[in-house]
Amino acid sequence: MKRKLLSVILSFLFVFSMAISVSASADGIEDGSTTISPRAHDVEAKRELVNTQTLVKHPIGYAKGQPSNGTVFPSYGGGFYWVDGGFGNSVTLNLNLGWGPISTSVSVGSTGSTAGYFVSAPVNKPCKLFVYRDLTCKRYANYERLIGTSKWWFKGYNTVVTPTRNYFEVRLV
Amino acid sequence: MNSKKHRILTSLCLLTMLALLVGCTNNSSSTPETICGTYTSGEAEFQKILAVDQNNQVYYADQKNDCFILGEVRQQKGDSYLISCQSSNYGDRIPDQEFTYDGKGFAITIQGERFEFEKIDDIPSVIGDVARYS
Repeated sequence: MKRKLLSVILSFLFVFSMAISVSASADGIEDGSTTISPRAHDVEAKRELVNTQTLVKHPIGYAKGQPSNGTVFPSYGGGFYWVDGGFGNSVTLNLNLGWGPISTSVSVGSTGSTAGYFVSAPVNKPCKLFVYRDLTCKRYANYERLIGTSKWWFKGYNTVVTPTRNYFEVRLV
Repeated sequence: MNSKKHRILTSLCLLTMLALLVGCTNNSSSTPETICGTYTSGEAEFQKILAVDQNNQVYYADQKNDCFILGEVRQQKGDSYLISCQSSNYGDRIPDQEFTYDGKGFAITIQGERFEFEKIDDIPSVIGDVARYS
């Protein structure tokens, strides 16, 4: 009876540990430039970083949520609160990169909340908050192969654009 | 004989549990938080903004007092960092000091007063023209 019970416990533990190892190895991308775990049952994919370019202080636009004629702050201590992201707060940018033009969507953020970054504004002058961002653009070459084979097939390039620094400027309108 | 089998089975059981534990521990390891990002202390016009960029440069903005300071941070050991702004015009307002970064924020002394900075973004932010920070 004891032996049976022990066997059951052992079997359970083995199965459970196997399940954990499989789940750990299928977690996906380990870093930006290494192999991606299999997307389907018979194909695996990888990507390789081929180019990087950073656009410094690229103009993104006026933060969303501001009246077109600007905001007037009647006393000292007034200013904009800016938060990143949010639905509908992205703008489409056409970027000319070393490897050709791309079109991408970048958040310009919004004003109007009561938290986030505070940017002071001048008194009694209509003004708007303008956002610039450093954009780091990474171009990847994508490959696929059948699992069990050695040849990687080139599938195309894609560019990932990531904001890496924000700049805020209050402009009089 | 029976006792020997029992011992072997128990050892196997313990080894399996150990393997399981190691598997779980490895699985739960996470990437350490980077100090790069933007930190704020206070609200509205009193808000102080401190940004650390990818090159460990520090941009400190106290807009109310029109004080913009450039500095740097260096990792000392583990979660301990040293901030130094002495090369900046107003650098004496932030004396060289060590602080502990817990992944969410840190506390430093500015002009003799202790301020808690909370991380609000992984992206560093600069208020106004970079040239103002000197």
